[in-house]
Amino acid sequence: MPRTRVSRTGAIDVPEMIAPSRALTAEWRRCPACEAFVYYKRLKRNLGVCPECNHHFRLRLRERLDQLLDADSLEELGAELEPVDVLSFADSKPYAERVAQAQRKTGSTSGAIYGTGTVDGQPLVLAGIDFDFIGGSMGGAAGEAITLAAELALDTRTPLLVISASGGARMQEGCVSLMQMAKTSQAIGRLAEAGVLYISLLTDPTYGGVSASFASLGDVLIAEPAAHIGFAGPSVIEQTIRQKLPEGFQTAGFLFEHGMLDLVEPRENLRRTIRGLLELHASARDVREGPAAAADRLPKTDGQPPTSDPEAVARRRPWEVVQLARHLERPHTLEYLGVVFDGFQELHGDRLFGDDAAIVCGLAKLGELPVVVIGHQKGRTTSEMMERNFGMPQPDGYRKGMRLMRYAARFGMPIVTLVDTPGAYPGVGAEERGQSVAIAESIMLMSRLRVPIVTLVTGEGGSGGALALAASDRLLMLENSYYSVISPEGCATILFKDAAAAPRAAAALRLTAPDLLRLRVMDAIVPEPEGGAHTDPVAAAANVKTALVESLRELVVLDPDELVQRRYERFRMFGAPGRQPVLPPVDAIEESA
Amino acid sequence: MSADTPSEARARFEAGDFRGARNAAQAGLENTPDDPDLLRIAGRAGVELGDADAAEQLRRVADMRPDEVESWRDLGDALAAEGRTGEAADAFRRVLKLSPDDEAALTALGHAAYVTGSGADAVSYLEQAAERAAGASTAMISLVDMYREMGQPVDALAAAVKIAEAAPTNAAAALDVAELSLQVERFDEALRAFERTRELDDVAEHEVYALHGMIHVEMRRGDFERALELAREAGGVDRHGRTAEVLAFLEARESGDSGDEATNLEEVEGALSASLAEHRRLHAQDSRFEDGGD
Repeated sequence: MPRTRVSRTGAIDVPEMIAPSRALTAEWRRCPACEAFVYYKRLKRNLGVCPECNHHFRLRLRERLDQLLDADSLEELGAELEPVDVLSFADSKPYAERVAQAQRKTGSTSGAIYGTGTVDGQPLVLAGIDFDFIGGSMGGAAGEAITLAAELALDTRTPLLVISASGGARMQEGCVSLMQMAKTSQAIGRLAEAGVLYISLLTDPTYGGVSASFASLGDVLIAEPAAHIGFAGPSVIEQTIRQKLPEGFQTAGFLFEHGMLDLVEPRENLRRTIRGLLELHASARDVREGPAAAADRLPKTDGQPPTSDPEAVARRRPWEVVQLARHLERPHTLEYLGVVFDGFQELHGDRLFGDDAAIVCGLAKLGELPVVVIGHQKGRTTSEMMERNFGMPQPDGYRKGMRLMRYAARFGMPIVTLVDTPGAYPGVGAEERGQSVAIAESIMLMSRLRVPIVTLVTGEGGSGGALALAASDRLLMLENSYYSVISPEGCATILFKDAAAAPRAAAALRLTAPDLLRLRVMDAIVPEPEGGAHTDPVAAAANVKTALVESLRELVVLDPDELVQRRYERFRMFGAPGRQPVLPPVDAIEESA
Repeated sequence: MSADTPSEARARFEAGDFRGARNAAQAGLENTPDDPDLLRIAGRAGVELGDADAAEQLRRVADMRPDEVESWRDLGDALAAEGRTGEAADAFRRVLKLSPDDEAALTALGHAAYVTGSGADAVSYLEQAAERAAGASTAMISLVDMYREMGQPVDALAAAVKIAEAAPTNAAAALDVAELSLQVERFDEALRAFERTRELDDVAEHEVYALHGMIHVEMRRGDFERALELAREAGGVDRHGRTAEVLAFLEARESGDSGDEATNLEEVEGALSASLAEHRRLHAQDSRFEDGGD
């Protein structure tokens, strides 16, 4: 195929057929965002990102594949794919002529690529759409490339990567183009059912029938910064609503903020991120194929083991425990993620409304075992606490968590949840978006998941907001955490008619780990350093790791049916006559405190 | 070092196998670390591969062979690739001392001058480079933008016409000619260029922008009847209603019911200018950075 050549003297030899823009020919390129002139080789070194303003130039599909794949690993398939003029369509020029023009311009017969390749040795099936071919619009040939790739991925159980850049469905192929949305979506659906990873990389621009089908159906959705992604184009929306759209509308950042993307990654990080996902899923696949080996993948630990003896931990007044659980220096989910797990890859968004920072979710390894981790996250500084809403999730947070729970089930990954919340957020928006529904659905979903779930209460276990992440096989509590149907302050106000009676309420509620162990609400207490987890977070994390590993070691060997049945029985006994333990009265010392 | 090492490295470089070229050259340099030919190939390949030490290797070549144009050009290229624009300009000045007509050096110095805020010097260098180049040179392409920014639309148009002649199937080049011709009121030329843009753009939805340009031209030269015909045509391909306002104005004017015509004309011209800006934005966004497809 012909390529543009720029001679060393700067004289230019440009085959016209592949020069869609005059800027294409220049040794100095002008950034469309900041208008700086940038030396071409500098731009190329920078992966096509403007070094002055970080604008991500659009890439030709082949250039992107060069950046992402191992050298010479691409094996192209589907050379026979070519658009078909199924309607004998003509507008100001016949469709066949437009196709021929696009083929001359791009050197591609179909405007799409599919095949196989590797990223740092990790195999994948890939497909992509070339935006330079009639605006990347999806007709029969592009839809076929995506579908064939998905089918190959399914047959070989190899992860699929699809790179999208498209204006939408191709009008010139009429309803046959529209049907590509269904064809590709059902192919992706089969992948999802079979638990084969699908990563969708959305590049600038991805619109219409492509964004509303396979491009948005990835297990992981990744976009480059400032990529424009949407269903209707902005000019259509402006014409319809007769309003100017806000700055940044339909950019990757906008979508991320609204929960539609897992990750917005600068181009320099894309390869590393994709490699990480492939590696982790390769491990998960190995585990699925040999579950007995899952236990062997768990790490050796050197923390203090958990105890199921309520007398074995230091006796503290419940109100003191509440204060320790709320201590500002107490380690939170992200701290544990950094010490207990390896290679945490956070995934964002509920794909419905937002990305609630009060819950963090993602993939990680515990030793060599891939797991999904979901946890409440409080802040430490004032601004962090505001950003994290003091660890009080919105419905969007629970829906994000549920999305990751389904992800875990799809790929057979155990789930670890870390609970530390004063409660679900009591707000107008939260009610409007169905806080109760979200919590209820999360509890029910957890109760039926066919993968092991271990929950650790690390700080506050505030009522339904905590339980929404805690309907699990094993409930562990750090020694100085609490778990309660209501906050002591709330109970004091409502039942004792005196907010100052919170210490008394704390004692009455039996919210400490030893009491909850006696009630069989939880299974084991994770010891903390003497002054509390905040006094030695590394030691606390070591104990957490030991407790999680011990629990998972028992659970990963269980058959999924047995796992779900045991979980059912675990919750079934609460309140059942003759099965539910009853505690003796609170002793005088605690009550007087 | 095998006797074949330099030629093997050179052959690999010329075949575009930069990694192989660099490895071959580096292997040779282990035995003869000061061999300028091997340093040159290692450095040039390193520039293509983004190696951190490429510029230093090429600087050594320039120190060893200061009378060779190629040495300084290579060094300038390497430094520019690292974003060391000032040092690159120094190297390219050495090229010009040895070879005053060197187009690459003039082009590089033109852009370096622009980056450092000296627009007049930039234009001067680039004009010299463009004179020495054939067709749509880098210098000529950049001159279109620079003239435009300096308020010299006639000069910008002249440069744009040369680019469009050299790249007759390039829609963006045709759009430059159309836009600038409209600006300097060369209406026939503008009309032809908008028609050309319409032919060349393979995205059917972009057709409306070219038609808006043509309407704009006809209105500017007072042929409202033709403008109305074009507006009706535009309305037929415009599924988002961008032409509605223009069409309403022209139809009202045709029927003699144009109300406050001056105000309305201003609004319609504003809408057409906005459409032109959108058309330009679409083409600017389309500018890829790479050499081209294959």
